Amino acid sequence: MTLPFLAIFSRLYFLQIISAKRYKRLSDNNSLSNKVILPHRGKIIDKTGQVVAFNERVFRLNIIPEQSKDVSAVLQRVDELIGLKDFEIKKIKKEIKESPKFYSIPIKDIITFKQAAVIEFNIPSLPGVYVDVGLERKYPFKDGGSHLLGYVSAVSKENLHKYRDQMFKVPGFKIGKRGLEEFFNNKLIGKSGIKQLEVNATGRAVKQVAEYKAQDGEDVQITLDYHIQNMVKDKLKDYAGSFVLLNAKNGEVLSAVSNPSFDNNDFVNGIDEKSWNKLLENPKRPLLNRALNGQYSPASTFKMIVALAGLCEKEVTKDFKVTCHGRIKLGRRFFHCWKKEGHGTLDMTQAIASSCDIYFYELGKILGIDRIAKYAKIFGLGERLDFELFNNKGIVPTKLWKRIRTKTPWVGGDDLVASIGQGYLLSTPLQLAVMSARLGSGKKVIPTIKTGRNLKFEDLDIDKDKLAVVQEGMDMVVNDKRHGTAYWRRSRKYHVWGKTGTAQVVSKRVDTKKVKLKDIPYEERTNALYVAYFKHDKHPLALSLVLEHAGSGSKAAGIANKLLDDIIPLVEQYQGDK
Amino acid sequence: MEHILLRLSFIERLKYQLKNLPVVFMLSLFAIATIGFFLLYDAGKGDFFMYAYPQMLKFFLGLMVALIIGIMDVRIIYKYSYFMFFASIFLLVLVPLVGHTGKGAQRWLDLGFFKFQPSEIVKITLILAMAKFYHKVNINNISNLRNITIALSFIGAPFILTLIQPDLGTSLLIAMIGLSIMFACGVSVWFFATLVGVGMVAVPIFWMFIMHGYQKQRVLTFLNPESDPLGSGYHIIQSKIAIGSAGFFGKGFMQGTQSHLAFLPEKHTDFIFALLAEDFGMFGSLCLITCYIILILSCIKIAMNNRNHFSSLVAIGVGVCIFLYAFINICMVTGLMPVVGVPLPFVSYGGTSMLTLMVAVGLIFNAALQKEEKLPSESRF
Repeated sequence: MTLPFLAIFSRLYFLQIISAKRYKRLSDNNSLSNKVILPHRGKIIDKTGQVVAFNERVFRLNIIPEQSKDVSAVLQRVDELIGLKDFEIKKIKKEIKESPKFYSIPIKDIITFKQAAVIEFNIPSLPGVYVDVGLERKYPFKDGGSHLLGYVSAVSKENLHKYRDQMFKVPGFKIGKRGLEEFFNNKLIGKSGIKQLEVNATGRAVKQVAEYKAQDGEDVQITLDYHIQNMVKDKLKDYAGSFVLLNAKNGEVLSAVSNPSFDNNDFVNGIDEKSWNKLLENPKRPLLNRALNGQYSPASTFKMIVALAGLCEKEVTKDFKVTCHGRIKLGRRFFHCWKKEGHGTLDMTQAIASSCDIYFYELGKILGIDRIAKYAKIFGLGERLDFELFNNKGIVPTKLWKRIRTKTPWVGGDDLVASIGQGYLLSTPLQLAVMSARLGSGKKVIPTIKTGRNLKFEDLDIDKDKLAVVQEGMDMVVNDKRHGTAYWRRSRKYHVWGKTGTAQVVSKRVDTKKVKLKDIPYEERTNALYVAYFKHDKHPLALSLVLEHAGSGSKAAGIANKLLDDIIPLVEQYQGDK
Repeated sequence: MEHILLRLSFIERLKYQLKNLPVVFMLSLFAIATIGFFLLYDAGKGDFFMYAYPQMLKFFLGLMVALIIGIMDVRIIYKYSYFMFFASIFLLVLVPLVGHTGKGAQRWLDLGFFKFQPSEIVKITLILAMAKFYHKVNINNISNLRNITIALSFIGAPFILTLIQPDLGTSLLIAMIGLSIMFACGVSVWFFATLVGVGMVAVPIFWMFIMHGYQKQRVLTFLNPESDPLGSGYHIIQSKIAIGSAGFFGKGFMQGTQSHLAFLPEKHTDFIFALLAEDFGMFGSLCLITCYIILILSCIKIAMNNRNHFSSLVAIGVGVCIFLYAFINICMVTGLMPVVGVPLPFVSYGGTSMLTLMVAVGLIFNAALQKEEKLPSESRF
């Protein structure tokens, strides 16, 4: 008899002494269940303290199947009270079938206050149904700056393995998917907490063992001023285009409008197919963030770069004169000025002011594309800007670039086309604003959207007096009655420098004096561009405005200068003292 | 001595017999039962009236029955041994015809007011019948073919009848009880050697032709419980976790997480040992096992001190029966044996097994109290 009991003894010794640790762990896994406590996502605040993304308390309707005797009857009653769609009922019933009886199943994620009140009033006839309060990401300014803000949405199943924190596995947990929500996601998201619950074999919580509080996400302040952003967006609502406004002193982006836009609130709970298709099929491409990723020919706004290249490469001085007869001949081809009858004899500042194409054709012929490209890069064109969000590079062509890209050599005509900012040249509105800021301030301005960086910029590698020539030209664009292309659309209140640009989108000459804009097919109308600089000690401003298929650059200048009349007081009001 | 006792009145006889009360046996029995009450209080999550109270009632009622059997004249028991055996065999035959089906097997007879398992009763009556048989057999002829054949048919009848119910656990238990009585009587070692040989041949045949799917499943699960963690392996995995996670001193009374959170199935019946091991650790388990050892040793002592062969063999049979119950149950719960529905004697909750065991205890009392009694030896050889 000793033998059998010895066997039991050794078995107990093995289980309870030798393997105790292993079984202890198994036992803990068995009986402890970790419930993830989700952190609250941080708010996004604009420069002036307005909240542009926050978590709104919403009412949610849930049901605990175990507590309602007849789930179908209860759901039918809910349907009578607030209305449920057939597919919703089907989804709820499926979920109820797949989950333990004591799990809370959501009936509706968001219900209005009124619906919540109706439910609460009828709660005695709805066993198992209850209303609770959840948090839902909200963007109060809807389509104002939704491209920049981005949105949050549920973690996709394919990406689940990338995340360590348990909160990502909670169904419905949302992360930043685009724009600033994505860029600042780590800061905004916080850290999850854990509630350790003792559960029984069916998974029902019996008691709470421990709780580790969640660490809420930090708020993020951005440099955008939504007073400006919303005002500009409203003023430009008839156009497809983009507006970028920089503080040239510290690079802060005060506004970056891209029209048309979309409402990012629609994306938080997953956009429905119909709205999504509508966005995709819209020929004006509302999903494209034009301010950062739209690529346009800079057109005449590029002329300052060509002028500076001429000065700095010591090929010409500011007194270099060209007589414009309306067209020049290169080889067998004629190249026209935008002014058919010609500008007459102009020096450099006058050429910039009147945007004479012939003057820059001549300059381009002397310089060649490679020397122009060198200065374009100094002013931020053709390179991805060191900005928080993704932005397109644009194109500044060189001879080598053309040979690689098109397998054809660079020809003299290409020089001429490039020197008036057309042809292969492409730039984004952000780049144009940065170019304008660098031209105006003479410093290597880098744009930023994060507050508190206090960027200090070094001087550009360009002679001050040479820069001054170009600045004088820009001044004359707006303020010289005789030459300036934007004189008649100038700001009446403020002294602004600028440069207009009219970009052809098809190679077709149209006499704008004879043909009205509305008679040209929309896709063939020229893009209207304008860059401007407002000199100020505390808050120098640089802006770029691109309006697609809107006509001439002076039209854009008129709109932008009018906007500046409203913007500068706002800037002074909110940022002047900082 | 025989004559003196015969002349005494009933009360005087009782007084005389009570001097022989098996104190050690009873103390260890009470100790085991008390451990059982505490564990059942625990299994009821602190609800005294859920398991503990009914179990106490059953225990004390069973104790009354045991005492009544204890003071019953051993000659009456001797006289009706065969009758009771054949009666229980008859009941076993009845089971497949009119029995009550539960959990895929016909084991129950429903008397309207009371459902019981004849296979439980047959364990006791087999002990009695074997004891009576060997009481009569001359020690010199014990290993001859005729006597072995008779003894084997005593065992074989209930063995086969329970096997076809089907209840593999009980049928093996019956076989082992019978064989251990044969061993205690001194049947030749060669017989047991032959039996082992036959067994080794029979097992594969058994496996292929006689065993039911669920029985095979149990054996397979026993060999590798992790193969089916949520199905047939669930019991044994959870039970091993409960026992293993306790360590030497356990998690404390009522503190076992496995049992309290309902991971441990059947914690008040067959798997109650896991509850004990989880709450009190290896220390508590060894205490209970020690109690069983004392209980069984005192059975053997009672058997050795008895003056008639019949009572000795009955005491041996009962001791073996209790030993097998306890041993198989603990092995099963700790994962040393496949899960067969054997309760932990005097601890597991349940009426039928408690009644059977208390009748067996009654037979021990009987053997102890009337150790001076002599029975007529009717050896025909």
